[in-house]
Amino acid sequence: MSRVNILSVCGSGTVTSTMVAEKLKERLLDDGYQVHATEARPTEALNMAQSGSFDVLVHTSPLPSGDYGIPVINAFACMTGIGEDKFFADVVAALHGVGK
Amino acid sequence: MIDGLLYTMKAIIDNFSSAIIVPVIIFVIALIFKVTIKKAFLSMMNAAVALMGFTLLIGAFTPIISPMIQSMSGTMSGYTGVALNTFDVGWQATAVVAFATSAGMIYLGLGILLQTILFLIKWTNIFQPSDLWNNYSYIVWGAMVIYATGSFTLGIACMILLNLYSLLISELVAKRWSSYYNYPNCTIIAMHNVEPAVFAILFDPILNLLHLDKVNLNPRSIEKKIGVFGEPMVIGLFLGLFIGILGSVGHLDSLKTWGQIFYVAVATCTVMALFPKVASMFAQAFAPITDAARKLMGDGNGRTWYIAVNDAVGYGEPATLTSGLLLIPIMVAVATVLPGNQVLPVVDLLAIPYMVQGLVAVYKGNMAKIIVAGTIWFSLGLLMCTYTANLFTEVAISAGFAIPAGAALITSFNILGKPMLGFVFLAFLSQNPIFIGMTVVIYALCYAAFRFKRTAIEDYMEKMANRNQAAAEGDL
Repeated sequence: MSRVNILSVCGSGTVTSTMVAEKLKERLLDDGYQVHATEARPTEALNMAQSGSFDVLVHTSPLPSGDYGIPVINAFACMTGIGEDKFFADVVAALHGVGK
Repeated sequence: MIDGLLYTMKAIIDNFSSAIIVPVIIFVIALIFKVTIKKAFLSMMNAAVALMGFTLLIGAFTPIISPMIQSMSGTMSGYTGVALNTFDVGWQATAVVAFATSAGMIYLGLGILLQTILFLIKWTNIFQPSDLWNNYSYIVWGAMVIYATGSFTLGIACMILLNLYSLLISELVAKRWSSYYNYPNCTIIAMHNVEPAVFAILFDPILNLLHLDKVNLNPRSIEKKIGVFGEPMVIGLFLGLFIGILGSVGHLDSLKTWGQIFYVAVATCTVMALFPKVASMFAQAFAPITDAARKLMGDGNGRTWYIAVNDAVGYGEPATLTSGLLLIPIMVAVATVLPGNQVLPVVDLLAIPYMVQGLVAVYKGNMAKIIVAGTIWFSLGLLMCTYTANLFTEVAISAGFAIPAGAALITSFNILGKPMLGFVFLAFLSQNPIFIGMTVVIYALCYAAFRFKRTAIEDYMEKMANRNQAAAEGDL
C-alpha cells in the first residue's frame, strides 16, 4: 500500500473537490494507493502545488496559469460520469510517473 | 389530507433535531439508490457531523459579531443613512440551514423524483439530478413559505414552481454556457447563479448603446494584481476590521476597544475559512447519491440534452474569476450607500465568481459588461436579501441554529439576493391566489415561447454574444 497526497481543486474547495477526492480514495484503493486528499480553491492552488507536499493535482475548475511543478489532471469526468475510468487511469499513470 | 400527513411528519421533525433526522433521510435515500450500506452509513455520519458543526460554529460566532454589527449599524445610519444590521453568512451555511428544515427533508426526495420525471417526459432537456446539492436554492424559499404561512402545500408548490423556472432559465443559457466554458452537453442548474442571465440578455442592447461591446479588459493581467486580496481569510480580516472599527467609533482611543476589534476580525477570518470545510463534509454525504442518480440517466437515446454540472467547473475561468474578484470591493461599497439596504455582504463575496457565470456566458467573457450588469443586478439582490432577512433568520432559528434573540439578522447574498425569482416567493408568501396564479401563467407563457421559438432565441443570443469580439472564449 503506497501512500499518496492529492490536491483536489474546485471553486471553493467545498463541494466538487470533495466528491472527486472521495472517488479517488475509493477507486485508487484497488490500485494499491492510500489516498490522502486536500481540497483547495483555484487561487491558492499554485502555492499549494509548489509547496512540495503533493504528488498530483486534480481539478474541476479551470486553473490560473503557472508552473505547478506536479502533474495536473482535469477531473471533469467525475462531474458527468462520462470518461471516469480514463480519468482514474490517468491519475494512476501520473502517480507512476512521479515514482509512486 | 396531504396536509394532515405532512403535519404528522412535522410532529416527528419537531421532536428530533435536524442533525438527527436529515442524516437518517439521506441514509434511506442512499439505500433506495442501492448505495452500499457502508457508504450510506458514512454519508449519514458526514451529514450529521456537518449539521452539528454548523450549529456549533454559528452559535459561537453570532454572539461575537452581533454587538459589533448593531453598533456599526447605529454609527453608519448617522453618516450615510444606510444601517447595515444583517450579516451575510454565505451559501454554505444557507445550504445547511435549508437542508435542516422540513421543506429540505421533503424536497430531498421529491426533487430527485420530479427532476427525473421532467427529463424522462421531455419537459426539459436538462438532466438535473446530477447536481442535487443545489436543490437548497429552492428549499430556502419553500422553507420560508412554510414557516410564515404554516402551509406545506404552498411551500412545496413554491419549490416546484421555482424548480421549473430555473430549469427553463438553465435551458435558455445552456448552449451559451456550454460553448463558452467548453464543456460539451453540460450546463449549470443552480437557480441562484443562472437567474442573472435573464437580466443579462434583456440589458445587453443598452450596454451595446454605451459601446461596452468594444471594451476589452484583460483578465489575466488583472488577476495577477489582485493576488492575496482575493483570499478568503484576507477578505475576512478586512471586513472584520471594517465592522469592528465602524462598530467602535467614539472610543477608538482605548486598548480594550482595539482588542475587541481584532477579536472580531479574527473571528470573521475563521468563519470564512471554516464554513467551506464544514460544508465539504455535507457535500460528502451527497456524493454517493448524486453518483447513483447519474447512472439512472443512460445515454439519453439520441436526444439533444444537457447534463447539469455544479458551477464549480466555471469558477476559475479567467474572465469569471477576475470579474468576480473585481466585484468584491464594488459590492461592499454599494452596500454601504444603497438606500434601503441593510445587508453587509461578507462570506458570499467569494461566491461572486459563481454568481457571474450566467453573465459571462451571455456576454462571452466581456468583463466591462459583466461588471456593469453584475453591479446593478446584485445591488437589487441586496434589497431582496434585506426584505427577507427577518424571515430567513427566524427559519434558521426554528431549524435549530442557535442564534441569540435580538442578535443581528442573517442572510446569504448569493442565495437570497434574487431580485426576479424572489417575486415568485413573495406571491406564495402573500397567499393571494391571484398573485400565485400570475407566477404560474408567466411561467407557462415563457415556457411556451421558448418551446416554439427556441432556435430563433438561441440564434439571437449567439449573434449578440459574438458582438463582443474583443473577448476570447474561455480557455481551460
